Amino acid sequence: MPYIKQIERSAIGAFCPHAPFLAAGTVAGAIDISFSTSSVLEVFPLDFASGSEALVPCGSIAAPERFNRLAWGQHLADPSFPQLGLLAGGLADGSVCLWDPSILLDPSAKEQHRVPLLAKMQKHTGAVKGLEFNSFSPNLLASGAADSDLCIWDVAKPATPSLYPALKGGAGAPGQAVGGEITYLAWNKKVQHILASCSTNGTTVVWDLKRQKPVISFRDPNSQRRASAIQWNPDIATQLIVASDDDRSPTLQMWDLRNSVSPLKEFVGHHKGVLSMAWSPHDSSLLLSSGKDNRTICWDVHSGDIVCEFSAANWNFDVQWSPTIPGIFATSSFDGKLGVCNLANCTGSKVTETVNADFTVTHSVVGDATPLAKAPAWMKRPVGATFGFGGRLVSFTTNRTQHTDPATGAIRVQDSAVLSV
Amino acid sequence: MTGNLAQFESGHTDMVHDAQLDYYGRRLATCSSDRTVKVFDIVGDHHTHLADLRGHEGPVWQVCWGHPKFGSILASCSFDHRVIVWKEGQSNQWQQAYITPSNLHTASVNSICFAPYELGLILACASSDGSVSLLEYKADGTWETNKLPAGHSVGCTAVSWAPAHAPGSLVSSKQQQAGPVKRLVTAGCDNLVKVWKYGELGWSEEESLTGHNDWVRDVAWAPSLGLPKNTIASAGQDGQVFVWSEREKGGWDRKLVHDFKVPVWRVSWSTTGSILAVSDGNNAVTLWKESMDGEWQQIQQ
Repeated sequence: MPYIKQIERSAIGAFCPHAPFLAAGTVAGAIDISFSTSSVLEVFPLDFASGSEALVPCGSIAAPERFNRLAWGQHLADPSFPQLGLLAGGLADGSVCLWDPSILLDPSAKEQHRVPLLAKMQKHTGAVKGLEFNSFSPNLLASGAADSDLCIWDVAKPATPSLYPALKGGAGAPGQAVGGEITYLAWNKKVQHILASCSTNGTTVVWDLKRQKPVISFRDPNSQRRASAIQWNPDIATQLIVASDDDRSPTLQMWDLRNSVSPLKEFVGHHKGVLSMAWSPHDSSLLLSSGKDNRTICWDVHSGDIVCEFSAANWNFDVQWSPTIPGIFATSSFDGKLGVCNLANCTGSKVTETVNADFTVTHSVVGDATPLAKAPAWMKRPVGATFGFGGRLVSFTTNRTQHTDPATGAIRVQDSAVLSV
Repeated sequence: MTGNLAQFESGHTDMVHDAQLDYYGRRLATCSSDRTVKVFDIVGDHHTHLADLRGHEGPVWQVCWGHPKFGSILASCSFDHRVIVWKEGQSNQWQQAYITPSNLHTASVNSICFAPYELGLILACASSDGSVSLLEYKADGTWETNKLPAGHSVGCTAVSWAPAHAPGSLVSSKQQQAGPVKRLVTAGCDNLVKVWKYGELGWSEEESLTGHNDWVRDVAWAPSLGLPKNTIASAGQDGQVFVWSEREKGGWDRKLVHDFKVPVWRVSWSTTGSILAVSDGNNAVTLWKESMDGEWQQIQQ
């Protein structure tokens, strides 16, 4: 899979929700050949019209520590709020930093003594590995760290962020629900006050912020697998997918909170632990995952099939969909590359497995590149009308009906069209 | 005009993405995510299903009828990277006359459009790989493939040919142009509408029209019959529909028809070029007409 754009660095990426920009922060836990320990936050313009593959930063700043997570939040209606939203970094030293990307991009900011770093919030004592803005109220930022603490920040005034009262039932409290290091957190896509976090002890906890406490927690009943990433289903509020970076159990488990005894289904494909996931904001049947087997896989969530996949030379530790352009995504790997890809250019191909003499398995691609098995939803024109001879108009519209399979209870969506001439 | 609508189920087992009447308005071709193309016979309010054309290995996005001068010809383009030209031999016996090679486009082909018949049998194809290709039927029975020198980054969504006769040339006494005009317009995921012209040095980009701030989903060059100047309609994911009209000394004027607030998927001109049909994401089709003061107004169906 060729990248359409790339950055020669091992960095965590975050797309701007408003404009064609990509931010990249030096990832924690990797070191380059010069043994440099510096950390930098850069913003790149995504100009797909230019032919050059390498991206040139249009703003950069040194960061106090290296990044575990990077999040780019939407801007608020308040005119004093940064125009391009806020960049939040979850750093290895336990701090959460806020930057104003519009100052970072403004070349005259230095002369005016405006500093992009708005706030450094020091509350956690371990590396911050969970960080996400609430998509309903972008002034809410949740952070979770290796000290198993979970914080909700109000960043409506980015220079003086305030911290909400600690959630009950967290670490240290009786009936402790979290326990292990928090490895990821995600806000529910349908219900504003619901948040999930997962941890190294394998437990996923769903928090209700209105009640200030966990509502449910679950873990895989059959193994002690660590949880490394979670993603909520954008369509069904009670479903989420949990990934594990445990090499013995590299499947993605889809859970439905209505039955938290065992997972609803599993996605089998990765050979080693999964490090990152991203659910497409434009087509809820597409999910990206990447992991230690150096692969990034795009899944068809409904069928469980692999839509397409490609590999890098090292662990793929981060993957992100562009919130603005359908089909564009970024994937990072430890071989010093952050690449931007277009799903439209991805092709399926026949992969054959050959078993080597030492019983390792080699995958090789054979034959021509073939089209993907599934077309993304954003390409499907649902309605249309065209004129014919004599001013005759022919139009079609889509009717979506749901059928419930009597045998399995599965809900199948059937599209049919009505033509009118 | 569209007073008594005949409605019927398409018979496709998945979403339908296009429906086109042939030159005489007697036959209807539809295509769908179920990978097939269907041909119907339309007489008055009655329809008869004539044929199912199978051959694509992915959703079929668009169909286009050829001019009857070349026989009964239908083209279809698909997510499977291919364009198939179908030819009706004996009555209702459809065969694949041509299928594009697998290396012509490396991504989904989203839109196709046959050139005006005066230019010959030429099909323009717009693809998600960003390029636009031209398939031309040669006298020796082969198809020649060419590509426009550039395209749209991230992907090309739609293509439409200019009418062969410049606007006004039918009524004006002085001969303006020597031969038929060879121009087309494309739309893309770079939010641009581009106008291309064929000259002595081959194809070149004439103009790049900006105004949309999200993907441009469709573009349609108006027929020259009823209009005094070159006119193009474009529709975007941002909900905006623009009508562009060419100035006499070059350059294009932009006019907002309406902001629909939901993605607009299709624009189509009536054969006289006076009415624009707009299909938006609310499953609604509206008709628009330019009033005397130059504003676009919705007309009752």
